[in-house]
Amino acid sequence: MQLTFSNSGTKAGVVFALLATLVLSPLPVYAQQDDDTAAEEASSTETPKPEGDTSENGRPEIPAFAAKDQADPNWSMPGKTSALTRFSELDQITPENAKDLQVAFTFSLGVNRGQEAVPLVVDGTLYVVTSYPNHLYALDLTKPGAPLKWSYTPQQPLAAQGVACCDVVNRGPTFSDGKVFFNTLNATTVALDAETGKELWRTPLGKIEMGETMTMAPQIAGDKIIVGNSGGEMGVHGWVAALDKETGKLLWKAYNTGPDTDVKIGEKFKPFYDRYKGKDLGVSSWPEGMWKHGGGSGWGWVSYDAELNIVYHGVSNPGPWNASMRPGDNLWTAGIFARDANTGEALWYYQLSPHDWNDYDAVNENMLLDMTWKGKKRKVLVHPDRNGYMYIIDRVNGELLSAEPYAHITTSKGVDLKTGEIKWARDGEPEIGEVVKDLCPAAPGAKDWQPSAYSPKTGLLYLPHNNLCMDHKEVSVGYIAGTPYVGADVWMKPGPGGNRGEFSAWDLAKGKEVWSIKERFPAWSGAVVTAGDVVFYGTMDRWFKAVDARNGKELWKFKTDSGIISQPTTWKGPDGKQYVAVLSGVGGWSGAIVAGNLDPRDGTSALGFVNAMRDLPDYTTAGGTLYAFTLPDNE
Amino acid sequence: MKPITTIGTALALSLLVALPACGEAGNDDQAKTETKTESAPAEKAEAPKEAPKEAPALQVAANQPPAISLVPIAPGGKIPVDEQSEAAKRLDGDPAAIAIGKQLFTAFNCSGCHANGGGGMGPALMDKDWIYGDSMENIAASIREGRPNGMPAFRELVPGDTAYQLAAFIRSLNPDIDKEPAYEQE
Repeated sequence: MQLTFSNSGTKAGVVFALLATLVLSPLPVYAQQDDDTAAEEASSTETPKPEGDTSENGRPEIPAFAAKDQADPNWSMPGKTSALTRFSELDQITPENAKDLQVAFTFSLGVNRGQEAVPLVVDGTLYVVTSYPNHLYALDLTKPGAPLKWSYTPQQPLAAQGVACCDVVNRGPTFSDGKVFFNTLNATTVALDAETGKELWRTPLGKIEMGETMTMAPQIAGDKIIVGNSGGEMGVHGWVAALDKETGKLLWKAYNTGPDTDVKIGEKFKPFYDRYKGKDLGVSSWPEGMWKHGGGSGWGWVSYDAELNIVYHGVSNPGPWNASMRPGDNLWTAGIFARDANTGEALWYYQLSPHDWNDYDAVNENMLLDMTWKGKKRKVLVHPDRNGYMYIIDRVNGELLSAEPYAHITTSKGVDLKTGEIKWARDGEPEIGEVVKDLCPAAPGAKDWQPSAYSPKTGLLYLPHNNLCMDHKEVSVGYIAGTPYVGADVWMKPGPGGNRGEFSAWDLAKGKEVWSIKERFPAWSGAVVTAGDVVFYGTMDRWFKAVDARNGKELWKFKTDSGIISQPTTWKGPDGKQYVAVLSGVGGWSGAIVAGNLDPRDGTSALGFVNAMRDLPDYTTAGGTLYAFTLPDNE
Repeated sequence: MKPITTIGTALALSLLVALPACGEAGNDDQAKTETKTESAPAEKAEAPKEAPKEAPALQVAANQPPAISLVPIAPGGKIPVDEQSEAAKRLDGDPAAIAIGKQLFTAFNCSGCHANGGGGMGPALMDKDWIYGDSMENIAASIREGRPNGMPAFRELVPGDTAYQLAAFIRSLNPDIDKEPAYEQE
């Protein structure tokens, strides 16, 4: 499907076209815009998808194993359910009354770096973790103003900040059996008593000396907790691991590159495609020894099918970014693994970006849904990838069912559904020093980690994403442990239309976009959708928005103190009312220019993101505040 | 005589005298090594041995390490100690050193964190904010010893003039680096 940018004739479209032009000039000067003139408008996509045969596809359903968590009025884990659906059955807030939402309470996080975490609520207590130094605050919702119940700050070295690629973020805690679990920047998993904040166990899993950090939100899988490392830009040897929920003991650790024994590839490994069969492909698909520092970290989302007892996780980009230095498919990077939750043994694998040359990590959420696909019941996994395609994969056997483009793509020309192979749009490697222009999507992908939400009521996936392209120059790089291993100069820029972000609704059964809201900056927050047909998300220019899940109509918005890149949640408070919570606090990779006070004169700053975000300081300062909203008492 | 800038000479000398005593009281590694006149400052036994023979200029500096403060203020309105070694003075602004420093900046993956001066994982180097000082010796010390918020200690990789060549390149990223802010005199 081609995205149309039908509003290019409007005032906002002209402004953005102008912005796009300015970004390309060496020293851009941005016109200050009044917020109300921002190009935020829902527009129906006019071009219908020219593909037939979708009539036999049914509306996806949330799997039965997730039903209990879905119905829970709490929000106890980042994805709401272990299927990562981010759908709540609460329905007090509706398209009719959302305009009346007001602030219920706020809390300063005390840290002015990017806040990407998810506020959890379990039985009257709200748990929130900050970016480094990873304070964990528990707020008592049973008392007026939600006072602090306890707080916990882990012991970790300041030096951990120096090996975090993209701001010192944390994507949240998770909760299970009276315990709160989270990862600290220095690659350690911690469990706290949820009632008292007392540390129950802490398990160091990686070394900052080797460039390893942890920023991901852990996933509960039965009696285990699944975590993974960050450091795809530091040449780490990436892994995903399972710990005992009670003791923190390491149960298994599966590396994402290297020999089969390290990767836990054995008898149970039954990939759908033959190209993943063979001995030690995680070694032979690399130049001699490069897999040892080839990235492939596990910093993204983990989902868990409790019925199949399978853990699904993506694998990050290979290192270095300079692809010429690592001929081969660079397995098992930039793909998805299904693993036996008990043992970590690989069951199947699918590579989304073989020999990745654009930093297309495959770590975005793997949402688990059940649907009728071409007349047949399938357990599927939905994965909006950084490479720009919306993948639907059979999660039992790893067969690719669909890969429709959901963003502007120039780096590839589609995905062959027969072979499952992406058709890269290039011939060979660039010369060292050659600037390759206009690669879309840019390095953060059509969509980065910011998680989508799915409503079984509308059949739509709510998709915060990016509209960025880049110019890219490979430069030679040597591996020095504990330092960046990138080897590329990047200059990002707005994609077609000039809006750098977009929040859209995607019909999974039909494989097409239904509506879309253009955003000035990358839509870098997560999404949440409710049975009340309201979708919530935040923007980097400080709006927290409620939109109608059915048509994208804006219902309400609130200007927060700093840009939003976190994950909103909704929950029922002890007073029986529905609340929605979000963290402000701009930063992350996209907001590094503000959080890290970077110099806009160098477009390659923050791995090239600054080139596209020079005007962000005109719209937001650094911050970090928890906001909770609810309806007035009389509604 | 070790190189000492003319400003604040007396203060610098008095500080040098005071330093070892303070350091020993604080059980500070660096202060202890400074009392050994034959070895490089704070250089541990396992530090690269090739450093002295490769770079005669550094030997001069190493025998008597330049004293350098991180900040522009001192109690009593005094001027803090600001010594620059011969190598630092020789290579500051030197086009050849800057060119070499630029290559080293990529080779040591400095660019991975600091980009081409605008920063990323590490702070920007082309702006006016210098947390740990902007002189050749300040920057060289940051490179050698690292800094608490994530800058690794590159000591082993920067023998001889290397740290100064890097410092020369880094200072060249900001032509306004030595300009004092103007203020009104009453």
